[in-house]
Amino acid sequence: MELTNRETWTVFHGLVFGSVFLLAFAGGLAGLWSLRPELVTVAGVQERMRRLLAGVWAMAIIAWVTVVTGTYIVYPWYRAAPPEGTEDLSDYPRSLLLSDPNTDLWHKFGMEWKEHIAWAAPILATAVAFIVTWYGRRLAHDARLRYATIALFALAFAVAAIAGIFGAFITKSAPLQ
Amino acid sequence: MAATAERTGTPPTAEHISELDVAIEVGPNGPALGAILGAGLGVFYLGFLTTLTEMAVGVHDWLIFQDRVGPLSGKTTMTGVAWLVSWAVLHLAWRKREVPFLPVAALTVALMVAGNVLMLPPVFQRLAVD
Repeated sequence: MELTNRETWTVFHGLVFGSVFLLAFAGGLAGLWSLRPELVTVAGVQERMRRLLAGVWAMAIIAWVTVVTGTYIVYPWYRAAPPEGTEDLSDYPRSLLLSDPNTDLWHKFGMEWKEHIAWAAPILATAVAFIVTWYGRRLAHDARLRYATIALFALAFAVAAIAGIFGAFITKSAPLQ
Repeated sequence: MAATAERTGTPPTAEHISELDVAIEVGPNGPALGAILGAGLGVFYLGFLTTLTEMAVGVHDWLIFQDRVGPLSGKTTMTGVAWLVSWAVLHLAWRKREVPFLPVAALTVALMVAGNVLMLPPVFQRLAVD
């Protein structure tokens, strides 16, 4: 049950950081959605702000960690070119996927989309964390601003989900070993 | 009044809402809209650079900040820089202002749609030069 160095980093990038991201999103979304004066008292809003701040900043930070580790640690292994004459491409996932017309779309579409769209998640999540921090409990008083923040938050999750799903399928088709 | 309601478990009343209204002034929306529009610009910059990289070999080569990562290293780095600079400018300009919400929201949506379209492989691969 040993994992190689590359497999370990892939697990951290996709599974561990992805799971933390999901948890932070769930908590942040619940916090934002229920931040309304008709649902909570003044004391309740103040109490929820602590959890909300933790949730949105956790999501932003883990999103940055995920894309940076993905781009600068995992991705180079994925895209490494095999030496000329290499027949066994199992250590070269990109080349392996491109070598077969039945799998080349996993790279040409899946990875090419995933490697770019993923970077939108931390940008969006950071904007949300800033808004929640700057306005704090005042967000409970401005429904339009709160809904715009929620929309940004949900979009951050959506783009991360796209990247995560393609990452999972690509890893299944051409795992890093 | 709010503390009493909380102790008795009664639902929020008009006093709670009016107490909140009196106690909290939201302030100008400029900082929030600056962050939102900044995020929209960030997404657009990434899509724009993605497509530009495929269309211009010189840009493609210039954006290879790290050989192991390829042009993605430059695309993401320059996107990050441009996003932060744009956001800082918007924040400085709008931090004490009440900005029209709908035009900024509409512009943000347009930028995000454009950016995401430009990041779609069928789009930038079609525009790629050999």
